[in-house]
Amino acid sequence: MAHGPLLEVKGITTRFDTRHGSVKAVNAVSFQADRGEMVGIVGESGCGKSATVRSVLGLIRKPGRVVDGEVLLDGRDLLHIPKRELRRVRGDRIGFVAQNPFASLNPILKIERQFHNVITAHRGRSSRSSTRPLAREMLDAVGIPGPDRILDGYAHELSGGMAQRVVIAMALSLDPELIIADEPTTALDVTIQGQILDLLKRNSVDEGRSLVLVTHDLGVVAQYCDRVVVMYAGKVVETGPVREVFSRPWHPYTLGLLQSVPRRGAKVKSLPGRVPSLIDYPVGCPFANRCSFAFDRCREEAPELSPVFPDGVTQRAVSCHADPEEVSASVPRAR
Amino acid sequence: MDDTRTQFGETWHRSVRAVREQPSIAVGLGIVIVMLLAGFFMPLPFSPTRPDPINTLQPPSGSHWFGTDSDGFDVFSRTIASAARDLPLALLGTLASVLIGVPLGLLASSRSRWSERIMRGLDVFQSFPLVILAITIVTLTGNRLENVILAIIVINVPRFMRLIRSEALALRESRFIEAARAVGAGRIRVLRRHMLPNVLGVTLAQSSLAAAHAIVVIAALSFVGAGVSPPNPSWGLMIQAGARQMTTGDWWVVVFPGLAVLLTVAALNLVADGLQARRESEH
Amino acid sequence: MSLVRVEELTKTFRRDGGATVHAVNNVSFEIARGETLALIGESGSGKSTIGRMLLRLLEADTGTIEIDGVDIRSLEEHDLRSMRAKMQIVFQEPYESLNPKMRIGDIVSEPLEIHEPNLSRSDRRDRVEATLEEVGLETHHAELLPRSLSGGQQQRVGIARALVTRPALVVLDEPTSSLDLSVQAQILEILSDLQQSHDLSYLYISHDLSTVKYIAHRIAVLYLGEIREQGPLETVVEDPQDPYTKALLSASLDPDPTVRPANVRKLAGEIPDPTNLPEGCFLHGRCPVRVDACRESAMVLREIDVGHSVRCVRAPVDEAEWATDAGGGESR
Repeated sequence: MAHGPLLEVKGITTRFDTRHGSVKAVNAVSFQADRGEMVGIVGESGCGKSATVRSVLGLIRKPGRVVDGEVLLDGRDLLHIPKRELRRVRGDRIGFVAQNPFASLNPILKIERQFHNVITAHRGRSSRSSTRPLAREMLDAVGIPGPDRILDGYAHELSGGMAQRVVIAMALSLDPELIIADEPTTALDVTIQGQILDLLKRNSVDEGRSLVLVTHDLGVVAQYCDRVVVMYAGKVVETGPVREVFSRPWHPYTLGLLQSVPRRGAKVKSLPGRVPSLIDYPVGCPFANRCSFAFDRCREEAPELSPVFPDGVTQRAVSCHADPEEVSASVPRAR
Repeated sequence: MDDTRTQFGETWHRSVRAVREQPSIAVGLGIVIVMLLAGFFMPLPFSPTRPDPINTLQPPSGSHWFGTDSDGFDVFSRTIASAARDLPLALLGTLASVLIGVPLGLLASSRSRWSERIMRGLDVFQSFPLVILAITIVTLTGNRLENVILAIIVINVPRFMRLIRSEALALRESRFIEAARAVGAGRIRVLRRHMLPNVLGVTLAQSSLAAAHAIVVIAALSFVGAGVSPPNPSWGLMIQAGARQMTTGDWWVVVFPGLAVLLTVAALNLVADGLQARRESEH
Repeated sequence: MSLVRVEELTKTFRRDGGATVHAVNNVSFEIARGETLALIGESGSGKSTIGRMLLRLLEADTGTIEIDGVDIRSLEEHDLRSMRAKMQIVFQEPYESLNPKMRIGDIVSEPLEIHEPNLSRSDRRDRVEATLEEVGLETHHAELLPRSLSGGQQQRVGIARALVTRPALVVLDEPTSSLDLSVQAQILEILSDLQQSHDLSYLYISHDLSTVKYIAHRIAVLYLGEIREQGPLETVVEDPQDPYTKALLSASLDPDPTVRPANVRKLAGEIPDPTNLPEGCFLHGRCPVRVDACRESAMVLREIDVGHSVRCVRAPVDEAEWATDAGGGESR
């Protein structure tokens, strides 16, 4: 096993060309995921988190295009390899779980058939009788009782939670090293959410895989992730170990998000203003118009993500001109 | 702040903007307007109703741009003059159909047994080939212009009713319709202020198509001798007269009125396409 | 006297294919003036259905609904419509709840046109402007169409529309669920301030515990159309007595990573299909503390303390008995 992070995303920049102009959806986004680590990419709608992971997976289609950056999986760049190879890597080494499980499952094929298709697409031809035991094993691993009944059935017979388990089982069946999950529990009930996140964690990071989880829910990040990447207007504004970032945020936006969480007894503090246009992208820091720590330099010069160590390993970094100590001193302490 | 009047003014402004932004609407409308103006105001080289028996079946030339037909009529003059008859008939018929069909369609969207029965009746009605139906109506009621419009109405009202009803049924499930009820709006207010403005878009697009179809219906009618009677100029009549000349090689008698019909229909379809594209891009 | 009194509300739906969905099963509650009662539950709990039945946007099958002393269910169409000035609703999806072809000013002015038709045009405009200001919008917003506004602004319009007739009761159906976190905070602030200034009663429907904790005074926990537990917010949240309440509360993830619940109380399996309700206690198939009696008879809400009632027959359950491994639960 090589040293260094399993996944290194460096400077991804993605544009969408629309008739209103070019949407700067992802701007020089960098982050990494180690083996056995769960990384949470968190941000509000339009921050570019979904576009980022789709760029990493090579799923960006016209009118979008990835204009810059590298995605290194175990040292190997995924963005500049032929499509056919990428398709092999995707699925085989990277598993993907999307928000809507019913969009990932084929409504007219039996579940067993879909497992079979996934496995044979990457592992070569084999008979159904040999893929079935593997499918059953995977359904077991995700906690589905009576897997045979599920295998012989169809997607529409499943509840949301069950369907998502099946999708996860399929992703796991190829033994990927990295799993990317884009809001996997947003559409599910609260009590099911915990079950799904638990099984994702159990089957991925607990077994040495990496898991990149995209979510808008701070609670999910706080309770499950090891590291957090906070995104705003297509940029990474802060990244670091979850406990450190949440208790002592360095970026005013992270601070603002934490202050927006409603707490009984305290007046909830809301962030003024609005997200800037991704088409008329502002000069300087995109958060400046809403930031209580902003000063002149912020409006003229866009901050870069730092500190970044020479070998590219980033433990904790922020993209801001303000003094991180000042920002973290304003964290709400009252409970 | 809240008149139905202002709402129509609103629609006007949006229409003007639509025409500017979507070239196909401008082109299509432009062609139709030019044809109308030409039909009414253009000074014609020859009389469209007085034949010149000496110069029959002349091919297109410097004096007769489109040639002459078997009676000696100047094809160009008659083609242009027909625009002043066929187009207004089609447009008027369509307008009448909209004014009758849209409110009926809205009313039919209420969930009553009456509305179900009407719709089933319409189903049966619409199973007849429409052009035959039109011919029957005009033949039965008399060969007058008003009856041509009646035929167009009879054909189009069911279409609009069906379209508006299905749009309205979908709209009824919208959250803002529920909100209107929650706020205390009665049935009439919901229809007038919430349903109607939201079906106007689809009505407009459909009207253009209906007008295009009406042109064809009118031509078909006069082709079989129903509707406009000679010597009044009408594209259908001209095509009928010219059809006989096709075998003798005098192509100009039928081709030019045929092209006129084609052009009008195409222009109206362009408008409909442009309107539809605009609606799709807005959502 | 309470502003709202609901007794034994039931509602069933017929699904295509003939199955009967028992959406709401004998629900009763009260809301005092100026108070927020939160209805919290997951899918199939019936919370949205109850909200709509309260305003008769949906007709209940049986039960009594009294608002400000008036028996809502017996009102004729005309009287019901006038009653609507006093009871309003804010929906979950801000954009969908606004007529896309109507200007904001017209949207907020419509309730006044309906309920106060004698207002002069300028008086009406003044009222609309004042209400827009109260929700943090500006007068120029009145000229815009909904699509020109952000999600948060659209929701403010929804709130303004609900408040312009000065109602006593507002049903809030997941008002912040479709909004971003930072916008959610703005909306909660507005709702909270308005409750104070106008002495409003709220029926706050949600699945999100954190917003409920912020705004509610009392809470009713729903499962499969029944109330499992009901009482003052602090009591129910600090010391839940029903197994479902415990599971729901512990399933909510705290954004503070240092707060790790010692035991995560889990329920086994999935929420049953509401067309096929379990025998006996609705929870018994999934419940870690069930006993045989749970399967036999349906459980009734009983009061274990002033204003605090619970359905579980075993309540109060000793913490030690709540097995952490039974029913698929695990500690994090």
